[in-house]
Amino acid sequence: MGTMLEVKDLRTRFHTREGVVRAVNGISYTVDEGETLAVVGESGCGKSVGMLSILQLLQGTTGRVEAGEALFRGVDLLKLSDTEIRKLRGRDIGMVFQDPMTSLNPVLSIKRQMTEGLVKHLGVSRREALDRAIRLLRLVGIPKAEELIGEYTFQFSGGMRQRVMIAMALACEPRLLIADEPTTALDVTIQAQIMNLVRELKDQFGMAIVWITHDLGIVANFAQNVQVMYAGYIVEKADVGSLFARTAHPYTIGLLNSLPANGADRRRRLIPIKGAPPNLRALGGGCPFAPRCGRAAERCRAENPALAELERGHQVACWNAGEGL
Amino acid sequence: MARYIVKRIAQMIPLLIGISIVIFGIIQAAPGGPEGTLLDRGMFVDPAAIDAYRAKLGVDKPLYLQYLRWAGAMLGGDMGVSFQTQRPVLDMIAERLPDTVRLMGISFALAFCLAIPLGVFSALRQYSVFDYVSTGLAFVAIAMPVFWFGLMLQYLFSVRLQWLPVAGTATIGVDTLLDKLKHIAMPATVLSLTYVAGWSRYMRSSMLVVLKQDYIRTAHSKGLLKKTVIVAHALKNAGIPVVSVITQDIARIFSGAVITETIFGWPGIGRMFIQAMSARDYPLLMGILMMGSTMVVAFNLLADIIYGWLDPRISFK
Repeated sequence: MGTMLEVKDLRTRFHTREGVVRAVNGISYTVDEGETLAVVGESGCGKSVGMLSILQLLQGTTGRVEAGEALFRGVDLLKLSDTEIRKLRGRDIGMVFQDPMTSLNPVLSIKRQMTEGLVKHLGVSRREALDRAIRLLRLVGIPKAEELIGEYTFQFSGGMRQRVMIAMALACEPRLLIADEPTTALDVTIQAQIMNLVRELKDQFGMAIVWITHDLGIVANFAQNVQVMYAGYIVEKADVGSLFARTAHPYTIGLLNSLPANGADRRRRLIPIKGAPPNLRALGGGCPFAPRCGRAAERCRAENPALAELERGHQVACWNAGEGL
Repeated sequence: MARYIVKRIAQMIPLLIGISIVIFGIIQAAPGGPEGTLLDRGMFVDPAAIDAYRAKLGVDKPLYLQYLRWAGAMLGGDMGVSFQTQRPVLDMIAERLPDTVRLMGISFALAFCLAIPLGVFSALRQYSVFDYVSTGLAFVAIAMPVFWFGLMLQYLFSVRLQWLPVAGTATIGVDTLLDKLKHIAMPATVLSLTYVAGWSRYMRSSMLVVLKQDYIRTAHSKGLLKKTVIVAHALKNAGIPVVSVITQDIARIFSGAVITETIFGWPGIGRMFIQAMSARDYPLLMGILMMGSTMVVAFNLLADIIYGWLDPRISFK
C-alpha cells in the first residue's frame, strides 16, 4: 500500500521564559494507507507535540516547528497556509484527544458540534448533516442518538463523550485518524470498548490510524507498527511482532518490564524505570536515556546514537543494541 | 423557567424590605434635618417656626413611626411628597428619568460595542503592540478621575475649539437631533470610558482562559474557520463571567451618574440625588435609593437568566 504520511526530520521547540524546550528532535516516520501505527512513550516525550506540530495545532502556544517536512499525500502540511490547513483538518485528517471531559465544548449542543464540520467541509445542508451525525452516533454505539444529539456534553459519561469525539472525528470520513491517548482518561473496561470500536470502524472506513499512548501493553493486538519515543527522539521502531519478540532498546525493555504480565508470569514483580525523564531544556550531547540506563557506557554519555537497522523493519537507536541483550 | 422567575421575584420582596429599613436608618442617622434649608439663609429663625416646620413634615415623630408611615404609603404605590418642592416624589423621578436613561443607555451601548471587541482582540493578540496599548489606555482610563476628564474635555472641545456646548441637554428653542447629539457627546464619552476600560479587561482575561481550553483545540482540529472558533466556540464560554460584571453596572441605568451629570449640567437623577441629599429631602432620597436598589436586585435576576441561556449546565429548578 502507498505511503500516506511521510514525516521527515521534524523538530519542534517551545520558547519559554526559562529556556528553549526541545520537545521534538528530528523524528522521521511514515504512515501507509490503512496502517495502524502506535506511538508509545511516557508523558512529555514529544509524542503529542509531534502530532500537533504537523497539523499546525500549536498556534496559541510558544511552540514552533523549527525544521522538517510532513508530506500528506505529497503535500507538505507545514507549508500550508492557515486557510489551506483548515480545509484539510477534520476532512482528511481527524483527531481524537485525550480527555473527553474537557475536549468538547460545554456550552454547545452535540448537534452543533457534530454538524458544523460536515456543513463546512462537505457543503451539505444542515438537515443532511443532522441525519448523518445521527447515523454516526449510532455507529459509535450511542443509544437513542436522535434524542441525545440535542443534548449537551455535561449530560454524558466519559466513555460516551469519547464516543462522540470519535464520531465527530470520523464525520467527514478522513483518510487518517490521529488519536492522542484517547483511552487514557477512561476506565479500563471502557478503554477496551473504545479500542474495539475503533478497530471496527477502521475495518469499515479503511482509514489509517496513528494511536498515541503511553501504554505499550494495549498496542500489541491493535497496531501493526510501533514507534517508541523518548525525550523527543524515536528510539525504537518496528512491527509489533518484532518489537515484542526482539525488544532492543533498554527503554522499551524498561517499559515492558513495568507492565503487569498475564499467565504464568503473573506474580512477577513489576520493575519500574529508575529516575525521571530528562529536562528537555538541557539535553546534553549523549543518549538522552543514558542517565537512567543500566547498560550506559562511556560512549552513551558522549554521543547520541542514530536509528540503525537491527533487522528488516526494526530500527533502534542504541549503541549496545547489536550486542544481544 | 417561568416558575423560577416568579420564585425569584417573590424572594426579592423581603430583601427589598430589609434594604429599605437600612437605607431609612442611614439617611436619618446623618446629622442635620430638612429644617437646615431654613437656616441656610443665615438669618435668625424662630425655634418655634423650626419645630412647626418639623412637625409639618412629620420628622418630629419617632423613627419607627416615620418608617411605618413611609412604608405604608409605599405599599399603596405612593412614594411620598418631596420636602423641598412639595411635589410627589414619583412625579419628580419620572420627570428626570428620561434624560438619565438616555445618557446612561447611550453610554452603556457605546461601552459594550467597544469593550467586547477590544477585549477579544487583546486576548487574540496577547502581548502584541495592540494588547499593550489597549492595556495601558485601560489603566489610564480607570485611574483617571471622572470629574477631571470631564473638565478637560469641556476645556478642549467647548472653550478652546468651541465645537461642543459646555453643558445641558439641548439648546433652548432648538429641537434637532444634531443639537442633542452635540450635547450628549461629552458626558456619554466620559461615562462610557470607565466602562470600556473595565469591561474590556474582564473580556480579555476571560477570553485568554477560554482560548487555552482543550475544546478550542478540538474546534481547530475540526478545520473550522478561525472566525467560527472564536465567535461560536470561545466567545460564548468567555462571555459567562463577563455577564455578571456588565449587568451589575447596567443596573445603575436608573440611578444616573452623580459626578458626570453634575459637571455637564445634565438634569438627571444623579444630580437630583445630590440636591436631595444636601436638603435632607428624606422622601426623595428614599425614592431614588429604593429605585436603584430594586434595579440592582432585578439585574441580578437578569444576570442569572442570561447565565442559563449562555450555559446549559445551569438549569432553573
